[in-house]
Amino acid sequence: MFGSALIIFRETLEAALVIGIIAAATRGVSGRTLWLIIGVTCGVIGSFIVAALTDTIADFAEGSGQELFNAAVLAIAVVMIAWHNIWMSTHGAELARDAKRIGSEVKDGQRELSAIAILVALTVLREGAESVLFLHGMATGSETSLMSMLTGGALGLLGGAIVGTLMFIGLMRIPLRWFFSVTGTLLLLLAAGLSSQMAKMLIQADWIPALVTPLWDISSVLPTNSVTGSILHVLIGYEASPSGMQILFYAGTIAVIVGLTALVRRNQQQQQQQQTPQAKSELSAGTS
Amino acid sequence: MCQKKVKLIIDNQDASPEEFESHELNREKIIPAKSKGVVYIGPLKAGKYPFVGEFNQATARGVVIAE
Repeated sequence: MFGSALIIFRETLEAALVIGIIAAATRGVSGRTLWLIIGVTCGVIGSFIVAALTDTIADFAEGSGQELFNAAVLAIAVVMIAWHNIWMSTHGAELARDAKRIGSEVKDGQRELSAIAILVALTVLREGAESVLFLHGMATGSETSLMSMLTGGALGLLGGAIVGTLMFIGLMRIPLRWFFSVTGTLLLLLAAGLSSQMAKMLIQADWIPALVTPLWDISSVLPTNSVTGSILHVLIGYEASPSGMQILFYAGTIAVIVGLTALVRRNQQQQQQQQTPQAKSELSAGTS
Repeated sequence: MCQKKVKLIIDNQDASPEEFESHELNREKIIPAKSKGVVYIGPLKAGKYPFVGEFNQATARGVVIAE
């Protein structure tokens, strides 16, 4: 029971932390709870489908189907985070202002929220499919009783959910002045970490070169599989011994998202300057 | 230092799926029941690179040695 609890906890942890961050990052956007539930539900259903299709997926691309599938899932997740951060760069001030008024929510965030739901679904799917496979394997292959396995799984799930909730509660305590900068930065680093994992998958499938392996190795200081290492791995993509290509993907993702965000923000500011003086003074009152 | 890339073929012969995992090698891959999986590793610095089957960590252990 303990073994299955630990594995399910580790799989759940990643999804739970990400959902905790996303739930916080979308505060003040109308209808976010519904979209988050849709995301989780689709992710859970998707987990079972992907788990059932494991053999088929694995056979693609001369045995590298799984890597390519994971890389595609990670790529979409990175794009969704980029979309969210760019959207936030033009709506963050509005959200921070409105969050002070109880019950007021930004209404035009539906498209943004559908991107968030996709991100949540893909995160749940990645970890969920492994959990389903593991539990299914235990149920068919081992001497562990079904009851003890399910209890363990439920405990692991509960543990993960608690950590995710703590993440959310912790983030919500950050003063509004810094709030969206903090969640935006967390999501930026999360995207960079996912991108680095995507590089790892493509290297494993031998689609791209690893360049230098490893670029550095600090596993004697902070191993990736230690508790701190694993949490940092989930949050910012920490790896004790990354390859050169992973670091390229990591830095490249940060550069592209930061660059696009700055570009979109500058365009919007130029548009605002062309508006009437009255609208301009309203906006500056809002952002101050 | 092993300059070459090596293709590992992991053969999961029993009826339950397994995850080949190694933080040292920077690799993880699910191997479905009764099937083979391919993982490319290297070039590697000389050294020992342990790996485990994540779903059966107590017994499924091994090590890749690069010379």
